Amino acid sequence: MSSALPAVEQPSTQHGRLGSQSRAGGDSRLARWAPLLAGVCTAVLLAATLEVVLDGATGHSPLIPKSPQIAGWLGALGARLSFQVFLVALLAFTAAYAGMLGLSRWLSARWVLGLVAVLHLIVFVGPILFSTDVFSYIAYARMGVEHGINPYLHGPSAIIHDPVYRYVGQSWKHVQTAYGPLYTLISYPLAPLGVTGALWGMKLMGLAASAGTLALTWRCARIRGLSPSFAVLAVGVNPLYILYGFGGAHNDLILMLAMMAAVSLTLAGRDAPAAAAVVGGMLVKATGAVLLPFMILGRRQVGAIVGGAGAMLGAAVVAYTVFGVHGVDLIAALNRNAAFVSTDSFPTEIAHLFGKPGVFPIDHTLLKAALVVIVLHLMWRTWRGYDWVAASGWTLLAISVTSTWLLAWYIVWSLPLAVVTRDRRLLAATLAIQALFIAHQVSPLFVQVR
Amino acid sequence: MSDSSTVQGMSESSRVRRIEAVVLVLIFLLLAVATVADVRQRVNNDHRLLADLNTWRAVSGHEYHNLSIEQNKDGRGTREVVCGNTAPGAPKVHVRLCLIMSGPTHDVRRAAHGGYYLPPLLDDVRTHRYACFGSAKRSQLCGEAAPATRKVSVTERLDPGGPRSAKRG
Repeated sequence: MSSALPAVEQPSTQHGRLGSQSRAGGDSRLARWAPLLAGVCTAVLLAATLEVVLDGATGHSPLIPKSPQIAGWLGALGARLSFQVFLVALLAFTAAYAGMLGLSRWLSARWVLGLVAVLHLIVFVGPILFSTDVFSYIAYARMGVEHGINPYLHGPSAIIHDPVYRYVGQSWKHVQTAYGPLYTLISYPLAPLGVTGALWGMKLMGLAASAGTLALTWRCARIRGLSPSFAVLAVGVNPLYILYGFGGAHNDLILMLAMMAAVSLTLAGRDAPAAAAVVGGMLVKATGAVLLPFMILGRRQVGAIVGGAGAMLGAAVVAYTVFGVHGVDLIAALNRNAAFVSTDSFPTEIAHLFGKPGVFPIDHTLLKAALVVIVLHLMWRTWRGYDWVAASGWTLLAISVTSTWLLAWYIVWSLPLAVVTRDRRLLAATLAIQALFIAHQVSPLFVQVR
Repeated sequence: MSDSSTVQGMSESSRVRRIEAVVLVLIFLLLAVATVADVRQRVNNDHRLLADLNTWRAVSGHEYHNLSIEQNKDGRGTREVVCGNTAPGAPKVHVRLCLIMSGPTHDVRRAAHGGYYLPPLLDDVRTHRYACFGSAKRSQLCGEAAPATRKVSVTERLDPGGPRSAKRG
């Protein structure tokens, strides 16, 4: 494997400047081993991904949602995916990812892009991983197109006889869509394709969004004088991004595409389209809105305000026309989701630490207050010259940490922004929070309840 | 901006960065401690759950896997109730034996110090419970009236000599 590695690259500018002589000595020793270590890490990444996908394809696993047989042909190669096997694969993947980040200065761009492409390909041909969300997306689309039911007023239980209904997660059967009107409209053309066709359509959409996000990440990092290869490696090989985000065909990938498009456009001096891209992201998932105030404060261009306002106005007209007033009311959807509680959220963990059984309404209020303080501080910092991209990333990270409803793909939002900012604390914080999230999953490794 | 104000600005910026760094480290430490404590609690809960299931199977003599458990997950108590069918079948379709367990875990077992029976399909509430024994009888967990489906003979299947067996009342 290691002999297949392309020529070792020179250390990139961001890594190589500050090393002392002893560090240089250590680096040269590591450089000798880098191809072999990178080969081992690559093999682990591929093996762990294959394990999850092949075992997941057999179905009958509590980790794999009930789904039409889109990857049944892979099932013969795997066994039922148990919690223990999955956790070992996830931990191995995470360790290899950390290793690859450490070795990134010696990896060629071709190697990084090849690895990212192969991982995407493996996950793309496999089953839907770890989440039923994609079936909710399809259900909302089919409600609107096939049944003439407004998904902002009714949950999938309104189409109980539709073939997608049986795949929708139990908790979401009565819940109307919380996604933005742009995403709902984007998903509408997939509705007539049937459940399996729409599922592949969602997977393709996720693939295109991920490819776009990574391409824009590369571009932004290069323009900002950072290593594009490291940036793409950090995002495209990230375990939560590839296994959970891409594996579940989550629309968060489209949100990240819109965010990176906005960053890329501002770097080209096109503030109005950049603000419109932020609004586009917001109309996929309301969380995307957090970039707009920081962009306006950081850029201080009239174009950003005009572009943002224009896009919002246009989108509001379209959303109102198609979905009525509920399609425009993103705040209501946010408030509804903010009330949910998941066992993996940090507020729940902290509540347990202090002997409480969980979070209470007062905790929700305190968390919102903490988030407001953080956002105000970041706005002040941005006004004083701090990078608006980093400030946006910190806000997205703060939202995921303070949210009582935390899912793996929420902690990925800040990652593409983190890798294109010079404040490396954001990347370190994002990866640290992800590591804690992964660590929180490991308890089944210690006790196997049968 | 003059040189002095630039220097002043830089020192202010570095002071803010230092404060931010301290806050970030403290937040991370809090989250890390909470995560580790939660994982530890989950492991303890799972360990207790496994012991409870093993104990129920040992006491009842049935190797059933579809058992329901009312588990105390906040770490402040160890009393739990495990219920399972007394004959093969889907969950709840037969008379159920419920065992009350508490105390520490030894050899992946726990002390079952009482219990009761539940008729098929009915919820575990006082009015549905019957034939209480051990601590359940002392605590008067059973309702006054026994349901029509009551099968006292099931009680006889309990193995009084089993490991940490339930005391029949």
